[in-house]
Amino acid sequence: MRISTAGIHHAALTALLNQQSVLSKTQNQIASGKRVQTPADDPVAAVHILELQRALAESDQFNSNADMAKNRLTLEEQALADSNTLIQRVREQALQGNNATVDPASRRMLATEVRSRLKELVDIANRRDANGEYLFSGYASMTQPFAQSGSTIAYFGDQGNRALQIGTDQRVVDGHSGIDAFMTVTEGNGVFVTHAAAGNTGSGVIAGGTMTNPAQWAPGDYTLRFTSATGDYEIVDGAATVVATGTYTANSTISFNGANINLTGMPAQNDSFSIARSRSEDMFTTLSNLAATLESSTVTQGELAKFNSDMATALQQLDQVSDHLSSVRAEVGTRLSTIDDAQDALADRKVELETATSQLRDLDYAEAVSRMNQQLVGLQAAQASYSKIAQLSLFDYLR
Amino acid sequence: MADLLSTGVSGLLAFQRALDTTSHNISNVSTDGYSRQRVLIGTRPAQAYGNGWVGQGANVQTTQRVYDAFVAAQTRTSSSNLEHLDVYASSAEQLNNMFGDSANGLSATLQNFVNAFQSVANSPASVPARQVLLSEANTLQQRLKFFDGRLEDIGGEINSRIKGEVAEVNTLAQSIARLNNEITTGMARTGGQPPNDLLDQRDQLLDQLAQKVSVNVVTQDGGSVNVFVGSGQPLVLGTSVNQLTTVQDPYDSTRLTVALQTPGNSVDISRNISGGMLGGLLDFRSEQLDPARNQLGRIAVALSDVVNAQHREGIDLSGALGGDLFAVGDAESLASDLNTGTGTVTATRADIGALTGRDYVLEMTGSGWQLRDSLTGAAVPMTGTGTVADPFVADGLEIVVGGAAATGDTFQIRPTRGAITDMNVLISDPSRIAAAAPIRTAANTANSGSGAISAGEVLDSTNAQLRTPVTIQFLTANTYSINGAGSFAYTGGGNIDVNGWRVQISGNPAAGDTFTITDNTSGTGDNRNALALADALKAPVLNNGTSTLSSAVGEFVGGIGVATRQAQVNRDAQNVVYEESLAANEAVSGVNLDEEAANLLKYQQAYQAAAQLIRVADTMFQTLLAATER
Repeated sequence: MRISTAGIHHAALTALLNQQSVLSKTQNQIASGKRVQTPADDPVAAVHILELQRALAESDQFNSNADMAKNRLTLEEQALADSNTLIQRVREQALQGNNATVDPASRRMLATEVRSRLKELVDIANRRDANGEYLFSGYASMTQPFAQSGSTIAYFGDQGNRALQIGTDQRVVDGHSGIDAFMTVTEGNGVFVTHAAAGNTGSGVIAGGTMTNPAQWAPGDYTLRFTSATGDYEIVDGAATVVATGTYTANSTISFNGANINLTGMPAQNDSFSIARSRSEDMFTTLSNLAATLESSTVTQGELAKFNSDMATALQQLDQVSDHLSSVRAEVGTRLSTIDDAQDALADRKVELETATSQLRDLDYAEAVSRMNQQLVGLQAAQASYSKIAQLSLFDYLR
Repeated sequence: MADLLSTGVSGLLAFQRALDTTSHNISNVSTDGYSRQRVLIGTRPAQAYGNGWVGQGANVQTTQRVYDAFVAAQTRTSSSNLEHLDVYASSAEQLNNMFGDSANGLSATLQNFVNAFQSVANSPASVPARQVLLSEANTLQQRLKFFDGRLEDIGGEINSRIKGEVAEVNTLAQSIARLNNEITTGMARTGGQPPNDLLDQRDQLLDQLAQKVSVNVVTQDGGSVNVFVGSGQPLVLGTSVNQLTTVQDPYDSTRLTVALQTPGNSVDISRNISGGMLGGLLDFRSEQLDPARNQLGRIAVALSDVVNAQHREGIDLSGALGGDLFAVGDAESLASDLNTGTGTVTATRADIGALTGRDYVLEMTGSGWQLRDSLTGAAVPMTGTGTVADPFVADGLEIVVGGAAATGDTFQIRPTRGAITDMNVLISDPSRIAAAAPIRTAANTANSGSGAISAGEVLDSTNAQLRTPVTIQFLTANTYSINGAGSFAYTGGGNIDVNGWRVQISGNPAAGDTFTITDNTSGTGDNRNALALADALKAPVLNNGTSTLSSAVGEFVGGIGVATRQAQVNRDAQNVVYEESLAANEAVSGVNLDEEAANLLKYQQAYQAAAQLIRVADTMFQTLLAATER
């Protein structure tokens, strides 16, 4: 084919420019370290990269959510641990006060101490996090949850549980409401709770009881009443229906509806004891009841028996409080370990996402450098051959 | 002898002309558009003698350019197509580079916004977290506006480029008409001898014209050419020229289209321009730019819709129900300037999931309203009758028509084009972000059963009784009353819907147990609505519930990448075609210096030989003189 002189130059120049543009692209890739620089370079990979980066940003957010939840739960855990220590100390004081050798003045001092522990417990329950939000007030996080209202400590928060997102489909609750943490401690032994009636005159002391056959238990509020001085008793339910009768001798066991009642001493006629279905009691009431018991008079036999019964109930209730705190703490611990697991998973996921992004977007340097060398050789060859061919002209031979 | 002399002289003259032409070729070796020329040398008429015909030497018949009209036309067409694809690809690359930056791109900004909701969910009472959310909302809005503004700017650039190209087309057309005149007069003057250099010049102008707009060139007798554009509208007829002008789009005055001004009327030829830069610009605008703005607008509409809907279901720090967070522009319906009737059309977006990125034209045909795709012209089915009570429904739009439209009246409907232009963040007070749910639930602490109540969700935030306290009391273990009234059967975990909210009670509640649902007053730490907002932003809402917002952004960016890639491939392929046709053309018409050197030698030698003839004639004459001297 015939070739024009301008055509030779044009073709050679075009080839050189193409080589240079390819080389410049490779150089750009090497300089930036990225294989995909704009979506057009590899549209499918570009979209995938966007999605991976979105997932990466999302998982970073989940991680910081998890940190936040962890902080709050750690604070809560600390508050619960402090509460438990406090309850243990109160329990020691209660045991001290329960000793028959302690005189009323010492008991009053113990009562004062218990009251100051009560204040301390309220302070713990009113703790805030770094943001100034109350730990135990539910959704109403800016409302102080616990405050004196009349003679009792009342709760002003709500029962809300705030959840934080720590994974695509995983949420963790970052705390407990005051209701769950401090207010709903099961009474007595979990099935029933016993109290001696005020005004009892005998030496009968009631100290809870045990369930021997839960299947026979019918939940209700029962009253154990002594109808004679010789231990004849009847047990009536809330509707004054007699459900059991019998005769009690000192330190014998009274059983009804699958329950054994721990009664010691000898009640007088018309003494009564309540065996009520367990409801829930808040810790503050438990402490303030204990203080009141420690301050109560133990002059008469009846008063002493009532004191002993109340102390037994209080000690049992302190154990319940301790159990309750432990179970809330266990729940917190479970959540913390859930968060740890989630964070481990997030860390793994992050590595996966970063690897995938890198595979799609980042340059294989070895390949790129060898490609660049190849292109350089091509460009050099084109330049060299062009300069040689461009020199050839028939005019050189016309003399 | 006289014959020998004149024969020799004829050769001298012919070869001198041939050498002239060779030197002309050599001089124009780098002249653009130059076709090499050659001299056609023929024999002079022979003289008849009784004993035969005796040759009288040579003469130059014509100087012609070496030119293949077919190859030249092919080159012109391929260069027209190349310009079309090149301007298309380079404009697409502009979009591609704009949306390519993943760090500052839409996807990252959107995710930051979603993350900001999570941060608010982490500490709903924290004003800084709320402030961050507002600033992310503003960033997202600004980002969308930036991209939309850039797309609008590109539209403006296209307008001015169209203007510039049209002006150049007119200049070229004028020059072609002038050359037509020179060529025809020149040919007439020389008895039909071709004015080669003028023809080359005109061909070059035609090439340049074809790079602006696809043309159809028809050669006339007498040497002039007629040039037609669009679907056969005459741009140049011999020596007369029609002007190409820019006119406003009938639906949108900010948009220029191309028309041909003939005496008496002007014809919009935008749709018929297929090649050249003008074709590339117009095609890019309708095939890439408009859809890109529509898609971006659609993402903004979906974002605003999703966020607003969920935000209205929450309450802010002051306890008031949340309002809209974003505002976006409405769907536009634009009447054509050419309409003669008084019809009106109102289009509203009804179903975000069914929205497409397309524009539509609603036309009053003889038999009623018809909806078409603005770009392809394909019919789009509608249901309904177009009244307020029963609007036309198509592709997520509700269209209400009014007034009296004349047959042939058209309206352009742009569902999402202007959405971002009017986009705003409506909340500036961080405390007004509705992170909390309006209700809260509680179980009575004196309950003896194990029943638990769910946190509750809002079904209808507009219910007037939504935040009125409600007590659910269990009459027996299996029945409950609501606010002391009625007796409803209890199913564990079943939905209880009252006053626009829904709760579930599970477990085994005992008779007498109560649960309350109350106004979430002072629920500053409640993050339920913030979590719901973060969830809603991840829900598939677009493309009939198949695409999430972020995947729509991915599809959008990917779509631009694919279109750009395709445009680049098309351009590169056309470049090969163009280079080949250019080489073919050069092979025919280009000057080769070696060839010219050979010609130079050839003609020089011939010239020397012819000169030798004169000497021989002289010698013969001298011989004769010497013989007769005595």
